[in-house]
Amino acid sequence: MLRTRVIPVVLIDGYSVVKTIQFNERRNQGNPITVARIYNTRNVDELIVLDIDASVQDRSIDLFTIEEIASECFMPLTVGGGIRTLKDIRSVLDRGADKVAINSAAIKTPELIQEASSVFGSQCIVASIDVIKESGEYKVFSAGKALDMNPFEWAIRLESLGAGELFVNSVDLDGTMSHCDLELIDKIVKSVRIPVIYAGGVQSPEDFIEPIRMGCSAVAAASIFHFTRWTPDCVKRKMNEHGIPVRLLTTN
Amino acid sequence: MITIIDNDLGNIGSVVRAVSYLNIPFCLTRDLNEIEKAEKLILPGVGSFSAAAKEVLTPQFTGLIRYLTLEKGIPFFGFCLGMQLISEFGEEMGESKGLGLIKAKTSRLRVDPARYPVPHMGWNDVDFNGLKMFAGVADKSCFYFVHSFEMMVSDPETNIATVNYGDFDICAAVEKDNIWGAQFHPEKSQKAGLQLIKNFSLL
Repeated sequence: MLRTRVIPVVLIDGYSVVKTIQFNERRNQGNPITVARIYNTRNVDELIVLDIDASVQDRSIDLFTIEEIASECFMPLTVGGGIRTLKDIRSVLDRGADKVAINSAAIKTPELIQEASSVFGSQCIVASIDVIKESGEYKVFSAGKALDMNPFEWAIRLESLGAGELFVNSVDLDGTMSHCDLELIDKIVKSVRIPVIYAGGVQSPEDFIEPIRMGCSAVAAASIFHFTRWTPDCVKRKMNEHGIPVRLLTTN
Repeated sequence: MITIIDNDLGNIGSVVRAVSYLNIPFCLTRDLNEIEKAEKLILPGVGSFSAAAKEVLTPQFTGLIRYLTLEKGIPFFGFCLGMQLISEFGEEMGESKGLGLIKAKTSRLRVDPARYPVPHMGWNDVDFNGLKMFAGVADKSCFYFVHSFEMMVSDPETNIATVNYGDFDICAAVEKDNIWGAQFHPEKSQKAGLQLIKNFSLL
């Protein structure tokens, strides 16, 4: 039986791990290599590492950091931040990433998703969408502001361009550790067939359950693992109690 | 010494890291003269059978791998696409020839894509029988899969492991004498996956 994934997210600002609140206020969380190493020993299902400043500062993600993280990462590793060209994708894959997350560059040049999935395969291309609610309407959020773009139409477009997975972040709930945006999840999972990874707002292990029941393939989270006593394994035990198949530490 | 075939078919970096983490001596090459000296071979790969067959399986390459494995009997381990390529042929965008190391063909996953996402991606339990490949691996261990095609093996004895997805038992691993293949990614399957690579290095 396919096991539902719980995915820790490691956000970096170039060199340090940070955790944002609503994509804004930041707290430093130390060295990304150390953080990744802890997740590896915790036998997590997958890891997402995003450089949240790379696109805005028009630079690439630091390849040495990726290489160091990958050197002890024997689970799938998704890397994002500042990925603009096929060459960028090749260089992070060469450093040990298995998939790349593409966000800003896809908004500027949607064809990148198409080219990338035909060269590297759809399984390698994770399209990432940041979503904000503005006067009751969901919009795509990029480079610090809401765009006049419908995230559900954008999701369908990304799927048709060949994205293999969709990584959806709620900007409003990011770092708030309050609840998941179930309305957003419902609309997204009804829009596409490719696996959807949701992130934003989980507070407790119970919060991981509903998004999966609604059709998400995985839930990703950062704050809950940085700031609370819950580990990915605790979360999965709770999911298991609720009948969601997961991969527990004891079962490899 | 394990020779890892560097063929631009995807995550070579991950395979190299797993092998070096286990302190297994290896060399990474695409040079046929180097490959010819191999004592053991790993063929990694992610992606499309037909593209790989066209780009990588030149008559010289195919001839060399067939000689080394079938005549010289050196141990061979294919990961994911690297396993599929040992089939006789693949049915993706027309038919293309594989290495033909075992009697098998590779075709699109039989699952209903409206109900089950393709690719089959994520951690799934593998049912295996305790041959050499899975020595020391706990029963019902999970391994990491990413694939849209499956290998259909003619000789059931060769198919030593299965994974259930979308109501089908899919071939998860093959073992025939010195020839091994895994549909999942041992290099990305944590401890259980690393154990398989270690078992191969001990052959």
